[in-house]
Amino acid sequence: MKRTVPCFFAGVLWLLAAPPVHAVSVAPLLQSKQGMVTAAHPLAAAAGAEILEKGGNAVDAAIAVSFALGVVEPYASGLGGEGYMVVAMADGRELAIDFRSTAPALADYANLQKAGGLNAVSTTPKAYCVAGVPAGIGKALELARLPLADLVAPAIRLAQEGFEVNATFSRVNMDAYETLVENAPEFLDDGLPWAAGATFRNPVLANTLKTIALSGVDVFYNGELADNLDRFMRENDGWARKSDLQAYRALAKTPFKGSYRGYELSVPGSPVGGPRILATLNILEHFNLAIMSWDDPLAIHIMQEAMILTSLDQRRWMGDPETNPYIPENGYMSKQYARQRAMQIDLSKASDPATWHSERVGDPGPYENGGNYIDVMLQARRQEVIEGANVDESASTTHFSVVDKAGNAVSWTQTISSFFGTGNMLDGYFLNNELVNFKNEPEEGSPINLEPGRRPRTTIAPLVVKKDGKVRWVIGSPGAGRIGSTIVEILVNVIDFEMSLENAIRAPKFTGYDAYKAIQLEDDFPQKTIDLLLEMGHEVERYPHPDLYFGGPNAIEVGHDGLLTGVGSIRRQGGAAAPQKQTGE
Amino acid sequence: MKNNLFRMILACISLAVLSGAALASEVVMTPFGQSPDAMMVKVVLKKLGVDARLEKLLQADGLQAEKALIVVVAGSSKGLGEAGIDKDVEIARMQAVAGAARAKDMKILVMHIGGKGRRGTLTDLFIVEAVPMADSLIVVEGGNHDGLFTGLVEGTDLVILPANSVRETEAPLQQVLTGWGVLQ
Repeated sequence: MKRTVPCFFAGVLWLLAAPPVHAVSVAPLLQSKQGMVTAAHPLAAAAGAEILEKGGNAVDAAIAVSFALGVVEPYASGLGGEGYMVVAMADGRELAIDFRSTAPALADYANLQKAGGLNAVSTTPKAYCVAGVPAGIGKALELARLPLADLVAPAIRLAQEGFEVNATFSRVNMDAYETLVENAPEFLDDGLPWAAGATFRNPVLANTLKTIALSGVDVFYNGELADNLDRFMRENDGWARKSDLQAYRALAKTPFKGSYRGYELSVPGSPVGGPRILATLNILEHFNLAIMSWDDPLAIHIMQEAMILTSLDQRRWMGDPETNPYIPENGYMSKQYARQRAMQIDLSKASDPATWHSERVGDPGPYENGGNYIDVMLQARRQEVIEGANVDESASTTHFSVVDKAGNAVSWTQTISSFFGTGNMLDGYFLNNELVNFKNEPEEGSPINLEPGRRPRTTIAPLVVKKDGKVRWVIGSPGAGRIGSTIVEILVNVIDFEMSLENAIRAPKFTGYDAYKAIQLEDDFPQKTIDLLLEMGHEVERYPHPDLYFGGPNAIEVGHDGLLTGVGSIRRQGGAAAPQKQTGE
Repeated sequence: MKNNLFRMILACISLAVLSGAALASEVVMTPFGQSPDAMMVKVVLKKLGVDARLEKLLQADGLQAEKALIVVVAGSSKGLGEAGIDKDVEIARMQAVAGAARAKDMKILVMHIGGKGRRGTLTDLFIVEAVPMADSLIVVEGGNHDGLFTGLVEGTDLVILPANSVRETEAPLQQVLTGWGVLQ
């Protein structure tokens, strides 16, 4: 039943359309052997390619992209945000840098209740958690080659000289208009949202970036930028203080390793979505998806049910391992536990959403130290856990991927939580509202109870996939609750359905997440597929195809001959960029 | 003598204001679908000197002696949720408001200003309801990419007044409101 994905790209575009100063190639889809950068905005991708051209490695380029995205997509990430990256160096070293934000010392349940709860504070400075992007960059610099000032330079140039607003920028700006009128009217275009085609400049952010270029990222945590934040928070009833910034650390960790049908995956650990990707793929390994196709209702059913199971477990068990005594990540990601979970999928009918939280949450605990599924199941006793899914998340966040000529790879996702975060702007950047990712009220045993210094849980999952020890794909996506499903579907598309990376990304996406009772899908599946899913008991909610709601993956494929294929996010006007020549190795 | 001079200056200022701008109470606006787009139109109206009254949940009995009702259509799940209503309640509200406006001989201007990004199942539902209410219709570029509005005005006297952006709705707004005697 292999079928061609309809109306997908006809072929690879080779465009050489970058301004002379960059001397790089930029296109939605690009191939090169000189290095590759993909990001949610072509100008950010070009900034990374420019650094590769200057002799920087993949980490140098990634840092430049991070800074540049904060300028060209100020609504999705930036200095006031956080994230996670996975780095796979060509010499075999692998690193996962956790630069998730942390709750400030004053952010506790007593203060939150006084303030009216998470909904009441979500667009106020109180929702800000201590930003990790500058510290993450600081940690990544240890693997970089060029001086910081060189890496900030493209972002300063974009902020100073300005750039043309695209449709995504304009749409997101319109959606957040009310918040911006209230919190950051100075961001608007004379009181109105930025229209596509207008030129947007951010001289204040340019000055902030110059300060960082001159003084280093520490100025954000200990210097004048920290003083500015402290003052802003005190004047606007926020909770973060300079002391919170001074206490912040990005954490260098070893990525979690997993496998799927012979491919090796390196993912970030909890409290982000890497473990869920592995847990889902482990379940899917029990089904021969390769004999099906992207639009086979049985394949969609199996994947959706698997993703529901893993999202239920994620919600119940996963959280910040630094501040929670018990996070059974190893059990959650074990192949043995996946076998038990695979047995819970009924191939003929959909699970009832009413039973998800009461009957279908699993217990990976017995597998934490290597339990065998037969032993565990023979001793099993049912454990019922009830925890509500309370999020309707936006399509915010941003992801970018970099591979250099030498084979170093970076997969980097950064965010300010909602689009525009709290909507408050300071020193030209927006303050995140990550606090909304904690529980609104404390619940015994919940790994995401609000606690000063704790990192909230999110769904981001930048990852690197290898085959026989060599990087094959670098993948990640924004999209909140859709991140996990979009990444899993891309991996199944390229591995099981043997799609090109481009078609795998473009193919219609569907959700599998416990916050959504229906399968939400992009409306390019055959009607017969929809009919059978309905017959099996699934509720179906249709979206246009393609739709920003399903994320904006920016990914790179490394061919067997070393040819790099970059695919910019088609759902977000992303781009791929490559140096025209590379001097570094 | 001083008093007379003051009165003359005041009269001149009043005349100048009245000749180029609307009275504060002559336009009432409401979003149809609870998106924030109506706030943007209010900013444009302000540039024209029209201080419109914006009520998110305007009811039929909330109409006063205004000359014109501006309905800014775009569906927002978030906005509906915050208002505590669903699409059916919103449609019923709008039908009642439009009916009351008709009874008061008010003119109705329907605007869609969000372009292609503000189209979709929910918004389209409201658009289909809103267009037949209109005496005039302004659509920002991209909003009619699939000809939805063209189809809805077919066979009627209604003309789609296009604009390239929210900011550029100023010209068609001025044209419509001048035609209705709101602006001089």
